Amino acid sequence: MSPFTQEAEKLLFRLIDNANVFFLYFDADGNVSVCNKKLEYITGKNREGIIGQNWLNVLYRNSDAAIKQQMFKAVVDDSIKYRRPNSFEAVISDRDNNERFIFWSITPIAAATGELEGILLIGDDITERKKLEYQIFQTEKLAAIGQFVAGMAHEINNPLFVISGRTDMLLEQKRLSSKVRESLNIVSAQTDRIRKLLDRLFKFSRKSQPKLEAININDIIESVLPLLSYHKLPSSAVNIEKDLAEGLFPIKGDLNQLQEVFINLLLNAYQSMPEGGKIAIKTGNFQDRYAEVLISNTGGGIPQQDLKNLFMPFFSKKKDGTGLGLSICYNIIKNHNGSIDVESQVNKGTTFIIKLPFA
Amino acid sequence: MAYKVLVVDDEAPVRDLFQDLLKKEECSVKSVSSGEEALDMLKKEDFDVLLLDIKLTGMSGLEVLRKVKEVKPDLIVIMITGFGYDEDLIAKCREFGCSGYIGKNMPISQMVSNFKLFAKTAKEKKSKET
Repeated sequence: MSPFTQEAEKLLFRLIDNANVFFLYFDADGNVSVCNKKLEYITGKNREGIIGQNWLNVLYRNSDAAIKQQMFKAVVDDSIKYRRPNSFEAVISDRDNNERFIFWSITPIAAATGELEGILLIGDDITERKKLEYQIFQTEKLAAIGQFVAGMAHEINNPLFVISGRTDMLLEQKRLSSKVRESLNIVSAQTDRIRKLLDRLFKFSRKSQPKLEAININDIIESVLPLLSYHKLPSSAVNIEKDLAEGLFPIKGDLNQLQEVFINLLLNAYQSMPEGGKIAIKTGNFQDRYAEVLISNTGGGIPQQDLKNLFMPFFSKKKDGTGLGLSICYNIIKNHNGSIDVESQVNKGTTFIIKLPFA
Repeated sequence: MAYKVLVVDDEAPVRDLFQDLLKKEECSVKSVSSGEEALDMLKKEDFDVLLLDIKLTGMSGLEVLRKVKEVKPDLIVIMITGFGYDEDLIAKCREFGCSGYIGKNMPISQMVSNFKLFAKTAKEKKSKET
């Protein structure tokens, strides 16, 4: 006998079906008998395709790593074995193949006889919270590295200054054998190299507050393109396609700092296409709050496992890269209260997405 | 160029290098290793230029600059730093009355010529005012 009236049961069904959580119930054999609309939506499967299927096959795609499925199954099996509720944070691919973080609460449901009747899974999509946590973690990590780097660079700068100064003074002497002069020139060139690296380190570590003025992103893009010719670019043909939105709202930005960001991103795009290719620059207004810039290339792309480290200092896949360019870009955009994200597919290309708040 | 210069840096090899570089430019140079010593020395002797490191053990370079300018507003003070080019730091030094800023990351020849330029400009400005 149900403790609910017929109306209450109907209401309960509607609440479950429309709830902003995932709702999935399966029997002791793992076959799904109940799901709600949100679960249909995220999996991209309709109810007919879900009911009667094994719950793991419903939640995961064939392409998803088996280990992820086994971990989730182990936690559910534990709930079944000990008849106790559990929770599990799972990463699943949604209908568009995007990763979603779902916090699942697992409840074993027993029949009146005490036999296990099934398992109820209620899931909360915590993807946005995870992203935010990751961004905070990333920002704090970068700040700590920045502080460490600045201290180290300062400590290196002092002895380097002495080595470099003494070398230059020796080089001014007229009576030096050619062998000694040659060696001193090498020392001088190498100290110069360290000095330039230290300059990059200071640039990365500095929390220089941007000098904000109202500027149009399109103007910054236009001002940057001629500057590219001053840099060493691969000789292969690269086409630049611009799609700069009309009626773009101005942002609050530091012209020099933002120019540096776009030069860095464009040079990276060039370098990712040694055989030539296409760079697309697109601007637009985003959600009535931000100006958005997308810089895409048709280069080799970045493997998934490298994307997380892309903005970390000293991370570089280039033979002669310092690994500081993108971390400097990241700091500059953060200091503008903006965001910088990257999407990439191996062998297809990469897109950097920058959002900066309106003035 | 014949300035009387007081160099303040807490590292002896750095002080020695400045001594040698500036002596070559016909400056007479003395050096001390802390802000406290610098303030004492300035009470006893007159100098044209104070070459002052920003990061010192004990009293910081900025603190020394502020104190020096209270008692000797006409003294030409040039700040030295191993922190590279830092706009915010330069702005702070200028606010406290320094005449220029040289970085230990500069090539030596550029550093010496910057020193000469800052000292000359400050001296000319001072003589115009008086």
